[in-house]
Amino acid sequence: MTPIPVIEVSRLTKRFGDLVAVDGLEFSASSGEVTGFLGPNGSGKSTTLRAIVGLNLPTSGTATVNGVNYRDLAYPLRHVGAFLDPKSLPKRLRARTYLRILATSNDIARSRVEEVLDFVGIASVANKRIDEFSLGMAQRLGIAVALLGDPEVLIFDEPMNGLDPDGIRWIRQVFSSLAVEGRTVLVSSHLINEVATVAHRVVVIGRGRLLAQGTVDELTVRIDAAVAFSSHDNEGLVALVRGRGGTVTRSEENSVTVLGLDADTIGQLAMEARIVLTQLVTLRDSLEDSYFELTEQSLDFSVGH
Amino acid sequence: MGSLVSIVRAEWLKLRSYRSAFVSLAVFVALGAGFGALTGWGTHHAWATMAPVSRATFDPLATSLSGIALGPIALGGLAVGFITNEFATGHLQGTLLAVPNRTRLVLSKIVVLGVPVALFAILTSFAAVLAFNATIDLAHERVVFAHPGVTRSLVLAGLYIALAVVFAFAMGLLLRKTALALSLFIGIYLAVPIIVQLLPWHWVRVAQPYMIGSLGASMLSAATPADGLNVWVATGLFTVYTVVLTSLGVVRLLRTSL
Ligand SMILES: Nc1ncnc2c1ncn2[C@@H]1O[C@H](COP(=O)(O)OP(=O)(O)OP(=O)(O)O)[C@@H](O)[C@H]1O
Ligand SMILES: [Mg+2]
Repeated sequence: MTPIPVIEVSRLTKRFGDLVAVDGLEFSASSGEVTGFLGPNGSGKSTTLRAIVGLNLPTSGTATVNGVNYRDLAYPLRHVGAFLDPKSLPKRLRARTYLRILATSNDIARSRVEEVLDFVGIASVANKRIDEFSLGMAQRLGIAVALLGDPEVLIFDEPMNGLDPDGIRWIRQVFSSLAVEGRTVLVSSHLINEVATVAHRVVVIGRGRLLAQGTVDELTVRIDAAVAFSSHDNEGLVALVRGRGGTVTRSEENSVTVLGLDADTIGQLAMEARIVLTQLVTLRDSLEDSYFELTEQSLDFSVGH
Repeated sequence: MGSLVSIVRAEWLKLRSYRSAFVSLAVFVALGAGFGALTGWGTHHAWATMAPVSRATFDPLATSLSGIALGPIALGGLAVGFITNEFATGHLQGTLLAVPNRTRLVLSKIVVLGVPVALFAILTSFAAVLAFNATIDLAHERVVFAHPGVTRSLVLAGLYIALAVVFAFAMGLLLRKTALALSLFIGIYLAVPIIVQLLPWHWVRVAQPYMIGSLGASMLSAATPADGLNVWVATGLFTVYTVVLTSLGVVRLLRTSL
């Protein structure tokens, strides 16, 4: 199955008064894939997801599913399942009652309620009021809500929040199997590790703008890895590194950090100049680091200078 | 169209799931029927000492329905809360994901509140009249169902309560805060007419019959009250107020990012 773009966000801008929460954002999420939607706190992830499901009206631009505005869907739950906020669950209702209300509103068979309750594993507590649910149970109920209409498109905002490691593993398996079934799964997170193992593709935003979009591998390669070294002649080696086009980002008594050259090249330079290296490490080779580097400049509240 | 029916059914299921809805209805029925019995009993005992003028202008129907006239206060909380609770808790987001057409959502909620409440109010009015007739024990002052205007008034009592409930709902839709919307609604009903009476300027009183609190008197009596509006003018005016307030609420909702 070739992935086809299903969720399409095009030149999306959303302002709240003077604040530009989303700024000309452009990306897509395709069928048969889990798309990770990443960005630091306040970068506009939730605002974007809300625009896709019609809770927000864009200031300009569009956010569509299969080319259609969510607000124009007569039975939206049959096409798009979304769980964006645990607060959207009515605390005073019983879980089963809430699912029945939702099923009724979208003409979905009652039997689906029991199916999704079983699937997420809360059937035995479904007659409890939602305010008696633990965070993990509420999160599972949210997934049941999203799956209720057996939709082809699924959208989750920080679904791992509050889950224990077991829960996180379970939810990753759910996302993977949904994608294997050919569905489009868009999952936001501010922690890349939460989605790195399941996401086929990631979209990284900062301050409402697109920073990177691609496969996890592409994203890692795109970013320069930093290399740290210490040697018997740091000054000499720094000069050589600079000669080769490297940038020294930090120079301390014992350790020098370089961007733009890999460890291999620096090792070669040291050997040719007969400088004894006492330490040589690649610092940023993980997705986490790539992500950090991408988003660092866009952080609203970077730690002081 | 198909989806509008589904939305109405879902909202009906939701309303029925809240115990407070039943409590409010029970209070309304008790108030309506209870006042029927109470006013009948009270009139029975006061009749001998009543001034001749009071006897002459005595309106048994309006008297028996005085509990119904207070009905909006019993049901206001239910109506306001049916929307403000969803705003307060965030539940509205979940609702709007299932029903993104906000106009349809509001229409469905109005149907679900208005229609059952209207039917309930008609039955309660009927019960109030029966209770009144049973306790007044004065054959000549009983409400006679066959008299002109009586059946009409019982039906209009249903419409009046339904309009009041939708008006309260629209107040909640527009203002979004339970306490604010409810106190304003009750204020309009109870406080405004009293305040107007207390104001020193006479011309303010010209507005009195057009106020929501006074419209009930016109809609619930068989004859036009002395200083009130004609029943159909009152009904039309209340409908206009309710439609305008609801429209404002819908416009605000359509413009809101949640
Ligand atoms: N309804 C609103 N009114 C005003 N400002 C808002 C509103 N919703 C979001 N914002 C602002 O828009 C910006 C983006 O917020 P958003 O919630 O989309 O970020 P996020 O990426 O989801 O962050 P987080 O990781 O903390 O969930 C923030 O500065 C936020 O304060
Ligand atoms: Mg968020």
